[in-house]
Amino acid sequence: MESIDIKALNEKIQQDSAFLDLLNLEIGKSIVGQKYMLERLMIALLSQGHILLEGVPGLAKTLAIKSLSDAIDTRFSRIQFTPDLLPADILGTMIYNQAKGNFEVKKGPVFSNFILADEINRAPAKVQSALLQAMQERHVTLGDTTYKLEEPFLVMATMNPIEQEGTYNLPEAQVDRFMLKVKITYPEFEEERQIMRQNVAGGASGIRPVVSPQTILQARDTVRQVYMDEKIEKYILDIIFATREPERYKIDNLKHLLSYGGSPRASISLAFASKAYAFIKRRGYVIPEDVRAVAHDVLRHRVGITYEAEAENITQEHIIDTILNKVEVP
Amino acid sequence: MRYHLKYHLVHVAEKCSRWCRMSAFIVFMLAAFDAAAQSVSATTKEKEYQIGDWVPVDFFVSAARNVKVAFPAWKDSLTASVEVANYTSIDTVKNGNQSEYHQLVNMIVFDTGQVYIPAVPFLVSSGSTTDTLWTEPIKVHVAGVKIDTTKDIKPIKEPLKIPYTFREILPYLLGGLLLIAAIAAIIWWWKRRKNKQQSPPDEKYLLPPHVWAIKELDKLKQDKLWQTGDVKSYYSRLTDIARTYIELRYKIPAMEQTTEELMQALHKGIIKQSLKKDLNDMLVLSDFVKFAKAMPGMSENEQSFEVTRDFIEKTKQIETEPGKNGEKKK
Repeated sequence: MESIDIKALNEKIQQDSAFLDLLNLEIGKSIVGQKYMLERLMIALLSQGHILLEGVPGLAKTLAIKSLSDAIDTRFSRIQFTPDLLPADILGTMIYNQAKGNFEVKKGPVFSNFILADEINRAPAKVQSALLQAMQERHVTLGDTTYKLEEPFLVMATMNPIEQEGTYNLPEAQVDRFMLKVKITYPEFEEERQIMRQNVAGGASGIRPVVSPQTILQARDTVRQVYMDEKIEKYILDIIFATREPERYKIDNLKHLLSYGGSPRASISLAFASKAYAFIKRRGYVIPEDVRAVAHDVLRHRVGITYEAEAENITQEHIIDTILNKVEVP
Repeated sequence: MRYHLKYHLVHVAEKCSRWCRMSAFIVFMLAAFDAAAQSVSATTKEKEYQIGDWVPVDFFVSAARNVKVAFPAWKDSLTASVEVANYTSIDTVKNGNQSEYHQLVNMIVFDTGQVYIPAVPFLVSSGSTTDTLWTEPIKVHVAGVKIDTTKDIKPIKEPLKIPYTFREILPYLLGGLLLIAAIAAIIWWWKRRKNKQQSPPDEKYLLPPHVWAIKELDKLKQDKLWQTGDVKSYYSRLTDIARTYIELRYKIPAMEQTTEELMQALHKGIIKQSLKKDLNDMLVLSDFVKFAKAMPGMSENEQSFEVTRDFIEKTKQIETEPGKNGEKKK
């Protein structure tokens, strides 16, 4: 078995995660509160995932990812999903150049580091799948050429939970591509007071680039090295298996409430997200607290509930809470 | 000559007439003899009956002893208005050369007015000859129920309750007994199967929590795990004992909680803060060992053991004999 020097790893993490303070400080200039959302954005960024945000309009979703992009000195694109959007509007297309007499590549907004897919459920399935394929494969083919998407590459998609008319719900298989689904809520009273004052006074000062993309890529490598004991691995698998076979964990009352459980991608995402969370907490090893901290965001969109559950007003949150409270912590 | 012929013709005619009269007398006598040898009759005691009453009809046949008599096979009814309720067996009495047969047939008439009980055929056989003898029809008067119009109309009477006979009850009784036996057999089989499946009750639920925990600590000490280099197993068992004790003692789901959550659950009102701090240090150190490959020194291993034992000793719930008022002292 590979020998790991946790002490050395901890020291390395202390060094490699130093940029987090800088980043938080810089982003904090434009965003008040929403620490949970920013932390999840970092988890997705560090573990090469993508994030689906659900929240009412006006919660600084766009501002958050724009600020993150600016602070990391990367390119940012915002795609507003509409019913008449076409895959080429996202990926790009080949355009005929009359002067040169040939086709030239016109790259779409997906060729950026940070992408905000605003209201992703407003576009039809073919457009959604075009983006989701690019997210998964991290390359796009235009004509005969395949273009690799530049790293770091992070898609933050948003969904508005209150206006469902004229929307195209993301199928389960496509939602599964998002590492995290984060629900964001309104800011606290004091936070909102600061937001109000800041905006009335003329808005926040511009975000300076404080971190290079290379630092992020290096941090990603370090995140992979975060030690995960086999007890933690078992804990993660226990949680995922409890979503599939609750009776195996003596949670029989969930059996009729669950239509499907987490996929193997859920196990991978939970492991990655736990490592990234441990990294953010400046630790070189994963503890059960890390797993529990990200479990809701990893599983929320990967657990299907039955009609009975809906009729009883039981949500995915309730099911995940029950599982976390029943599965033994190592 | 003519006179002589006339006289002769008159004489012959007289002779013939006498002969014919003699023959007719002989035939009449023979017929009278036969009629006296075989006779049938049907009689009723009364001529007046009430509707629905039994009308007992006595059928009598008298025949020579060497004559076979066949009574009719009684059906449900004789005519549309005369029904056969029941009948007795045929009573045979020998009287000299004659045999007398009696059968009482109870009939019911549901019509009012003059009703005829029809003629009934009886077959009499002597040697190769068979003759049919018919009874005379009987006229009876069937009266309806007399209604006293001066009195109030009474409600319809309930059907008569005829007590069940043992023969009628027997099949149900046997069926019930069989059903009870089958249910008892199923319950016995199910209990036996359950008992087979159930492992013997865990000792931790039988003993007081502190007794069980101290016993387990003694076993852990005897196993000398950390002394043989298996530090991780040592701390895993130590924390399991501590968590199980807390779960049993304080009814806190400690096995399903992280160290942080457990410390929050053990708030001020439950245990002393000094005890809580020592327990927290031990659990945090255990987490290091379990999840971060930490290798504590000998003194730390022993101290962790002592902290756990001390925690159990100082928080144990002592149950004494019930006091005067029946309450238990803690």
